Amino acid sequence: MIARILLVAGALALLAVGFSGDRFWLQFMGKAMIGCIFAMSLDLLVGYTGLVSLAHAAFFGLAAYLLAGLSNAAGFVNPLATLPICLAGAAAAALVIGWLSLRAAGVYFIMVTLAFTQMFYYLFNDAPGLGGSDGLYVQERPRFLGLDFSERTTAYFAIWIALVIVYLLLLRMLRAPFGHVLVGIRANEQRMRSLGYPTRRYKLTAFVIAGTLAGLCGYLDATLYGFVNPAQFSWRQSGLVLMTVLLGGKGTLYGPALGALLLTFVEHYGERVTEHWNALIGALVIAVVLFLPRGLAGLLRD
Amino acid sequence: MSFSLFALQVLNGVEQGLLLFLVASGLTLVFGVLGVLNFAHGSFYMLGAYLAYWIAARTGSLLAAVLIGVPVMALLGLVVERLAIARLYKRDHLSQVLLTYGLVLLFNELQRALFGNDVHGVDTPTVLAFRIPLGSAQEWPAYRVFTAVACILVAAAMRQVILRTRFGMRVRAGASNAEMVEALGIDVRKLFSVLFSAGTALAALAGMLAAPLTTVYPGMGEGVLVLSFVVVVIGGIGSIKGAFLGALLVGLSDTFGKVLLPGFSSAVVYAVMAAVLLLRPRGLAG
Amino acid sequence: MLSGELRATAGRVRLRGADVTHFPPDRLSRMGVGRSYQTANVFPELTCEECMWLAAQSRAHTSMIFFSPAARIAGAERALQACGLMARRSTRAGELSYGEQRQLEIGMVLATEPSLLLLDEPLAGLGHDEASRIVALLREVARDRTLVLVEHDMDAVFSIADTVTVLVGGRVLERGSPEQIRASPAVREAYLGTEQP
Repeated sequence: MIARILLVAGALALLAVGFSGDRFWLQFMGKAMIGCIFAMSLDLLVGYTGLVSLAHAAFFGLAAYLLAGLSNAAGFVNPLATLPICLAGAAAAALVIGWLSLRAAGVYFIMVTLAFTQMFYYLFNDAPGLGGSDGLYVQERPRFLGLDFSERTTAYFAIWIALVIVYLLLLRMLRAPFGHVLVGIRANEQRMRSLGYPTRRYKLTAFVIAGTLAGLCGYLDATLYGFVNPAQFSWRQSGLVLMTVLLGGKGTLYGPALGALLLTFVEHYGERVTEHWNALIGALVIAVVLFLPRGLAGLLRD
Repeated sequence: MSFSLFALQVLNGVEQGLLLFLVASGLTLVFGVLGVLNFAHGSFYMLGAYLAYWIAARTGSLLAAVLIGVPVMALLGLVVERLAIARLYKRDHLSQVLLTYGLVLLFNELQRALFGNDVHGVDTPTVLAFRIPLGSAQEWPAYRVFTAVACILVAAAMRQVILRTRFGMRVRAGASNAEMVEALGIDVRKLFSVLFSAGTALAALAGMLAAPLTTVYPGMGEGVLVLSFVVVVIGGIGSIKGAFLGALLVGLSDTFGKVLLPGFSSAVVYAVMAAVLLLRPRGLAG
Repeated sequence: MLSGELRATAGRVRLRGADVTHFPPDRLSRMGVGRSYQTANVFPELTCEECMWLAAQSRAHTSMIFFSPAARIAGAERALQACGLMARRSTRAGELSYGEQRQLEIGMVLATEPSLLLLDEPLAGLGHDEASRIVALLREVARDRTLVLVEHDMDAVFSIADTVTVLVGGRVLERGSPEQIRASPAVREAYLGTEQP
């Protein structure tokens, strides 16, 4: 009950930021909320299904580039057109990568997802016309019905709505039969198979759902910043979001969201304090693994 | 493509594959025996290359760099194993990935703090600074020949150690059944430390040998790490033979990809991996 | 191998006349073959009732249901009752005693409503009391289903089985009713004979 009140209060606080009109905070908190969706979607795989995927950045980047491409090359600005296309692109990529990667179990899966992410990185870094490592501007950002998403306030509210919807959807999904199967797979996959569940199919479905949500994050990010670059594909991003999940507490949904908020602040203020703030993040990851394996959510529960 | 050009590409691919083998063999053995997936393995390659640059710039000799640098890196491996990796035995994959990912971030910052962000060249040793003619139109740099030969010698020495010594026997036993080794009362702690340190030294050696060929730059470790993963996936985890096959395959496909499919060369290696996954999901030697 | 987890190198497995040699475990399960393992193989992090729900839910046409909450299935309750773990329903499986985990394991198999049960040494590692509880449970189960069990505890086998097959060194030595087996000289020699001076 207390947790629920805190969650609602948190969501309302985030909503309130939207009325501030402060350009810095709108972008900063917008980015943090995208991080929340990103981490929650990965938690579906890591925390609930027991799949440690490093491919999450690939779907993020792919959808972001798709939006840039649709806007710059085809002049598409209506999100009713671009959003489904970008999500479908991310889902299709997740289907192919997931299908291949899930042929390999356990630690192979981790390596294969990382390798495919790196492939996307090189492809988008090297491909002619995509601006190389500088990336691209999204010339025309999504707009429709008089809503212009290049306005930070509009984009911010869109992200807030997306966050709330994704959280509720995932929560619902985890309470449905599908979610129970995922938890069973994490707990004991062999037993699930002998109970009659074709487990690979469920894992692949979870992978595609998570990948599509990662694509949504890429879409929102490109909308908020009006800018995409290959660094979004880098395995650093995949590693960071994995860390966010652990930092917040895997398998709790709200935990990873909390982790994402916290990490956004650490990154921002770390950059100001020291030039070597990456070492700070590195030390933080190691400390979390060694001393806080159940994450912030674990702390809250105790 | 003329025959001599083709031959040159094959030689380059093999040489690149052999270097990759030095890195991947350590990675696959550490996973096979210690059960830890080490993302920081690429950092050892990177640090090796930077050490080679730094020492060679001061002594004017790459040989000196190797002789000083390899023991230093082996020592670093020991320290890392004791301080960090040892805490990961029996932890789940997620913890392993994240802790070693944290190490990567730390090592990258260390490199930035010590050597800065610039790209550095390393001179080829003067004795080897000539080219060997290959057919009428092509020539192969002697240093590449030397690298390939050196890697083959190291690989052969590794084979001898693994097949003929007590240490090697334990490593083989550990790779096939880690629990059994423990049950037999072998000092696993020592075995793990030595093996990890050896893997570190091999990766660093590969970085040192590669330094004159690729230049030394930030982030060079991560590219090699991902390629090593591809090698291990293709070859099968814990298998030295698989790593050897996989490394040659990756070296050749990367080299030929660059010639035949410029622009998409980087995807060729991953296409090969995907094909292996489709046909033999447990790797060529699995 | 019968339940599809190991690949057959030779020979065929038939189920009601159909060749199922290369069927994966999940498919066999949906055809009505339930199996339990030699060591307790449960979902340690889930409670007993959650384990049963998962087992019973596997009989639904599909579990690719994303938005309607998982219903409590009557079969799960029955299985929980049958294996005698009603009182422990909210306990995590990992916290049960070993004997209770075996009960849960058999209960989970029952919840999948199998017509054929494959039980691998259901009494292995159990104390006397726990074993007799399982034997009682198995006798109940065997009334209306086919049960194939591999077991070393001969008293238990004799009290449950209709047909006993004695294997020595991988070959069939004798097959028959418990009485016939008890009387068989070949079996006496192979197993019981060693005990005699």
